[in-house]
Amino acid sequence: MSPERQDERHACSDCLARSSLIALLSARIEHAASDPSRLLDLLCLDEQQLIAAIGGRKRKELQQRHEANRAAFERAQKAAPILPGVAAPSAHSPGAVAPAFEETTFCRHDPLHRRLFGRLRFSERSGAEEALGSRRHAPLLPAALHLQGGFDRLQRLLETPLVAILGAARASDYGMEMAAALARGLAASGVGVASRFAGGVCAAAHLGVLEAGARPLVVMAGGIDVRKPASLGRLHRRIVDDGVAISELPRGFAPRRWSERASERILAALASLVIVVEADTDDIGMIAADLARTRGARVAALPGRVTSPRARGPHALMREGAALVACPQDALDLLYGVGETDAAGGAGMSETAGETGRASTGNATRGTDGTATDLGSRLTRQQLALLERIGAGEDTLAHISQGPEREASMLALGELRRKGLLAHGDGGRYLPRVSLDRAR
Amino acid sequence: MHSQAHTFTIEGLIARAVGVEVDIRPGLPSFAIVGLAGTAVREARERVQAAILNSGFELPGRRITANLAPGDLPKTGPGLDLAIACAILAASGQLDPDALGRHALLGELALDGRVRPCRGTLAIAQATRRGGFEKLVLCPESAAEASLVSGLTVAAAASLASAVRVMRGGDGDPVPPSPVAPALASCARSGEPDLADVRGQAGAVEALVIAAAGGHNALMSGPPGTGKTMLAQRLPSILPPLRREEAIEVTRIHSILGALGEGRLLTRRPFRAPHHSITLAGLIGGARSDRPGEVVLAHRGVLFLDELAEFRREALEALRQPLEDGRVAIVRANRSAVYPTRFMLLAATNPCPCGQGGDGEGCRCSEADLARHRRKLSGPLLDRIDLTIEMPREREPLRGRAHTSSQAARERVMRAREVQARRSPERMLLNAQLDAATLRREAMPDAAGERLLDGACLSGLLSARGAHRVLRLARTIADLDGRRRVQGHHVAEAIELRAGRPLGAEIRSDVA
Repeated sequence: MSPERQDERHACSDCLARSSLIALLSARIEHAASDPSRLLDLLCLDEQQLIAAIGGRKRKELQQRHEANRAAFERAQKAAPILPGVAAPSAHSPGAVAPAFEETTFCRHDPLHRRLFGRLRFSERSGAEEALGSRRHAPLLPAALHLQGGFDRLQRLLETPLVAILGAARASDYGMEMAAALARGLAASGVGVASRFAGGVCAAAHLGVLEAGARPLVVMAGGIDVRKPASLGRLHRRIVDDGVAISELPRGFAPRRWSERASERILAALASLVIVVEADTDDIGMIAADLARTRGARVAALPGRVTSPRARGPHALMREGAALVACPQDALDLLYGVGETDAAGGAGMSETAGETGRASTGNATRGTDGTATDLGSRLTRQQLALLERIGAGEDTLAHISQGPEREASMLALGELRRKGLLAHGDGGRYLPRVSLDRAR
Repeated sequence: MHSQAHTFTIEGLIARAVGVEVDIRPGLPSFAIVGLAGTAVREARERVQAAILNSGFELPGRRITANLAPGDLPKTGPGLDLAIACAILAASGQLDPDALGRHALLGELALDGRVRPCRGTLAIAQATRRGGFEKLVLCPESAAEASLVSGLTVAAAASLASAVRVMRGGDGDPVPPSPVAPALASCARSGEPDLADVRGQAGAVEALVIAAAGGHNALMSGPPGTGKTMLAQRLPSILPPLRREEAIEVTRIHSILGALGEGRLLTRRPFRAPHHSITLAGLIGGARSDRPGEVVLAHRGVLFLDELAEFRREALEALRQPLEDGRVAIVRANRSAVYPTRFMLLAATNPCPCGQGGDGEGCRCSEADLARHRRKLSGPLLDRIDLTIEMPREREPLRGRAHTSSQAARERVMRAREVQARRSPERMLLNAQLDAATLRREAMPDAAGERLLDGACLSGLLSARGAHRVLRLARTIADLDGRRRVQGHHVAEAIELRAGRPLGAEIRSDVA
């Protein structure tokens, strides 16, 4: 991390130095925040307090490096003074696909930062007590944000309300499909969709946004050039090309558990609505939901099977009053109020393949599942009967191949599969991708 | 004086003729064996000397040279003892050299002159018949095994003296009654594990029957304690017994490798279940330069790999050629060999490293663990597996009913196999081994089936190879069903069996 880099000049040296310090302290924070509840307290500390609290024996050395960093940032700024918040001359014309990695940085003194977190007060460095006292309402936000994708894209995203779609990295087919369908529907309605950089639900949400031709907002837990988990390399490239990524850590710093949790506070602050799709009680999305609720944003959850551990998080949220979201329309209702959705873009389900025109007719015919399945022709009696049996728990191949009317049932199974109306669950169980009402 | 005796040595799975030439001439008393003799053969010197003296014959106190021809063939094992001893007797005038030349001899000698059995009797008996010898002389214990070869006269000799008596025109020693008649009687399967012991898991049992009927490779997946191993142990009980020519082939292999119990014809299909610590050489072959591995021992039977993910990756990768071609070629510095490996692969695995299953309560595997697990099992090996048997935890494991008995299942399997045998009477191919042309002729599904197959291909569920495998599987299901034409529901069932997810619900963190 060289402080002389050209594209970091949109931020003041203090904020950049803080960002670098946090990166330097990353391993120590990880250790100190092994109890997750302490993380936010830690992040509320100012630089001196941070060094004093977790610097250990290297306090002096850290202090010196911090000062050196700040001085270097200052020098760099003096050499080419650019006011915070003014976009750097972009190497590529807006709209063109970013040819390479292009990072810009802005700090909390930048108007964009205020706009991002407008409703929240950034707790000044006036001491930990105030920060701690106020953190229920304003979780301490990052001093400097590193941005990939350019100011234009970010600003355009901020013109609409943002919805965060979050959930487990180890999601089921169902969870991933629902996340993708929600994201696709919302993005097509012109609502910004944000999520973390993680597998499972989060990745599915980003893909849904990309499918709708919109730009996903991705909060990275490490430096925005760090592809971790590596299995998401291709998604990372697409986000760099077509999306917006932000992170509080400078380039090159690998994500840690603390920074993954910390990134959820950014999402909680950004989003007007947090939707948790599939998560265990300590999984991705639960911190964001908790923080969002304390700051007064809406929290919603997508229901799952009560027997599945992946549905525990959403169901717990709903028990505590989170709204139930089953399709993009539900989310739009939450954002804009019931009945105003057509004005807000009239999208929802109609954006999914083969269903144009159905969603705008309202609740009576709207699907409850929000997937991109194509019902095509009407289902036969056999197929409906089979869906009913699967819904009633006769949901494995053994049940179907050894139940009554074996041949007709197997054929119906094949047809349902061909139409994409069945997903494969754990232990060979089938999950219907369509609700029985809708199938009828 | 000079004489020659005939015997055989085993190279790989082949019996090679060895001529034992003995020359006795005046000189200081000595006894040398030349001709690429292995350790056991060189030690024959002491055994042969003692056996000759202890049998009441005379050992000439002169210079004795035994040459084993051909000189470039390595000879191993103690089976050459009897031939060396008889050749010495002939060269010293105690036995007619012409009579010796008409017999083939096989056996290890004890110091008191008794003849002991040795490995590979069946292969050597076959080679003896091809070699045109009058009689094969060997120990009584092996006589039953050797007499499986039709058109061969076998003479049992319990000792060196009896062998000499046989070659002088006398009778052989009595052969102990064989434990089972060599005819393929239907096996008494008493005390063997039975499918009726399996409670619940009806789907898995049914899938196993399908796999057995068509010889399809199968993978069982499920959390621990759901009965994967139990089911695998019961697979042999539903397989049809070996046909006679198969039985001879298999017995020959097992006899050479010393894996044969009592020197009789094997009628049960071999069931090999190597531990997952097995090496590449142990699984495929090549240990001690050309020893065939477990895949060869599983020829015409079942290779069961429990805890598939724990096997060395190199060993699993090496299974590809044997699975695909039904044979494996092993090439080492000084020799090469091709072994037959037509076996049915049955594998079992946990859905994740901790075993508790994709969504199970208490699965502690991290995403990286799961990815590693998937990587280990993904790819070419899984592609050669025709059906996936998913074994979920039973909701009421103790109250489940038995789906079928082994007897009933075996009858269904045998009926289906008869249908398959009629389809290719000359090659006796199982459905799993059908080539594309035969498949197109015999397994074209009806319109509904074709629609399903096309749909599965279009949606990316099946590759072209996968579609062929589904067709083979559908053919087997139709055979079990007793239908001439493959119908839509057969195809539907085959797609479901083929498209199973061995590693739990797919968790696509690599979705992008």
